[in-house]
Amino acid sequence: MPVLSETALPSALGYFGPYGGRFVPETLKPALDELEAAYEAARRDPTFEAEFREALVTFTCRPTPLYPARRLSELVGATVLLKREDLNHTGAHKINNTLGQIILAKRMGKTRVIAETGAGQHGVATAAAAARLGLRCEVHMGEEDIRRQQLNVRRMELMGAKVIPAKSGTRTLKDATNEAIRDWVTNVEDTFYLIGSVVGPHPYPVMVRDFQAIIGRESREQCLKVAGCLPSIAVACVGGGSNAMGLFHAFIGDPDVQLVGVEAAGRGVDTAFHAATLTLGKPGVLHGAMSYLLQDRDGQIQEAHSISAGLDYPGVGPEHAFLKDSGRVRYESATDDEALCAFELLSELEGIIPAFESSHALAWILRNAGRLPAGPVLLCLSGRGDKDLDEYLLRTQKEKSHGPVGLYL
Amino acid sequence: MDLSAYISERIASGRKLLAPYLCSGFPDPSATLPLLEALADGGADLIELGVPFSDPLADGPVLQAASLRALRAGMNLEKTLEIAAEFQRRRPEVPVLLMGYANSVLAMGRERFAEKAHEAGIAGVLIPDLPPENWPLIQAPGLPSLIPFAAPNTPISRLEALGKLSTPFLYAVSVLGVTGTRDALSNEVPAFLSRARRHSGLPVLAGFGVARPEQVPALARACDGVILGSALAKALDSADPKDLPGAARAFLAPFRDALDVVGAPCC
Repeated sequence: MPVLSETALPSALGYFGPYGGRFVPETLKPALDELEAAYEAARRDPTFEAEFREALVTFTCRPTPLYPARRLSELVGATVLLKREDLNHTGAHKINNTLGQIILAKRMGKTRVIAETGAGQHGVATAAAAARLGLRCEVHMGEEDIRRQQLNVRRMELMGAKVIPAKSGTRTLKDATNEAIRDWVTNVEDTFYLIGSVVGPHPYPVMVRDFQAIIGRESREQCLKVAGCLPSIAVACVGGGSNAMGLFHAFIGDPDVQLVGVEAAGRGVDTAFHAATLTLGKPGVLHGAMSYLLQDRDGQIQEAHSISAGLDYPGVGPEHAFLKDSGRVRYESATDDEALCAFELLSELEGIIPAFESSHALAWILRNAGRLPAGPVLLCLSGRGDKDLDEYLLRTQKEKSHGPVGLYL
Repeated sequence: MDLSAYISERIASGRKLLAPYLCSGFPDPSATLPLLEALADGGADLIELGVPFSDPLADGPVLQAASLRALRAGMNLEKTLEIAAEFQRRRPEVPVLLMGYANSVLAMGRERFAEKAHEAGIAGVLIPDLPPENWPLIQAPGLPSLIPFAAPNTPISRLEALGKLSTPFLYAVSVLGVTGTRDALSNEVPAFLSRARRHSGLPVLAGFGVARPEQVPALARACDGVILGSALAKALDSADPKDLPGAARAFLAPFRDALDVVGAPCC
């Protein structure tokens, strides 16, 4: 099974339909051209593929299992298979991408890597990958997020990374990304910008998708083995959209597999406090690409809101925008409360504490219990929830406020 | 106004161009029109009027702060165009270029933007996050000339390609990085400016990093003029709010003098 993918999209200029492309200052054009050429060469080079595969096997623990969640399946009346990306090293699917990009950075002779991070998961995965290859690593993180995610800050520092506070704008992921781009423009000659999702200017959306596509390819093979058929539906949460793109990619050509991306509805899609970019946004340009965005009528980018820092982003990967318009993927949303409920429920029923992000995808399945199609339901459990315990305790004041299982039984 | 003809005439007369950048709505919306007039009085050949944006990724801290302040005061593209139109009625001899980010224009819609910019008498449009490959996304009848950018790492083949865009000038980003003053500009900057001029065949204005009049001669000898953004914003920020136009004129004067010395026939 190849670890990298082959498809027609995007176009040569990096467009998925009208989405994607490169909307960057001229200074970055040579760097993106260089990156594109280096990636094209690498993906055709068996030594790159071998090195990436070896890292996936020995540094994180691929293949991750496909776990039949029996008690959950009984509850929702359908076989639910969990793709256990939470079992990856550093606790989420993010490491698949950082391992791929760090090997590429080293091949390109770059000595310094930079990254943006929201809650710190991508920052931690970047720091780990950089430490493994001995590259200098600096991570831009919103000042507000640094305050909220001290543990991840310390993890990054322990692995030798420097965390640079982003003090502009809302001081969260959007602004950390602006700062990372500004850093890259300034230090473009020796610096590799390691983007954490299927966002940014071409070739990032396709490259990150390719590095994450292992999720879907493994799931497909494992599902055939475990269930004897393809899943009837595959569900993943969508912030920037890398775990979802990684899962969906292997199934795009299977018309009988329904694909569902679940965005964060925050306090509700009828409020101003959500991160449901595809559900409520409009196309525009942010962080180097055309895609759906949360924006006001003047095109100013609006703040996103979600209990899950990993979904708290006003943009989304351009390929998702394309898949929404084409109708191949259905994009729905789940609220903070629904995600919290799902978080508690999976912990209780299966002994697996999911990340808040992944809890959104599970929440959609719970909401649709009884209406799910026959055949296995594949859920990408993109990360583990240990990182979310502080926030969970804060929200629930140490009491289970949702009575989760009871709600559904 | 035909910006190409205007620029060529000035260059032919030996003049080095002074192009200040002002963020619309900074320090406050009522100051913008008087400041534009003050810049015209202070010897500006062109004025770049900035449209504030929530995520100005090509800008350093000074212009980010200016943008944020202007946004909080309610400034937007629509109002910026109205101010530009009024300024053009008062001072038709000084061309105004609009500088902003792609999403502001896309949100207005390309037909509407082209029409309103044309009506306002805008002479050119600069969008740092819209490279020429993506210009078709905003092209529509009436759209003023789009101005391309080049940076020190832009390859010669690209400079040649930019030169074929038949545009009034090339905006040379003097340094790798974002907008903002630099205490010292590297000796490589003049070499880059000469390279940009030679291979694009376009007039070249140098922006990003210019802080002091003393930096002007070395730059201006290698190009056709300079753009001043963050340094002006800083000067306005520390000026007496009751006399911003006076501060703007006083800020420009030594730059104008420095450029005129370079442009004088003896040099």
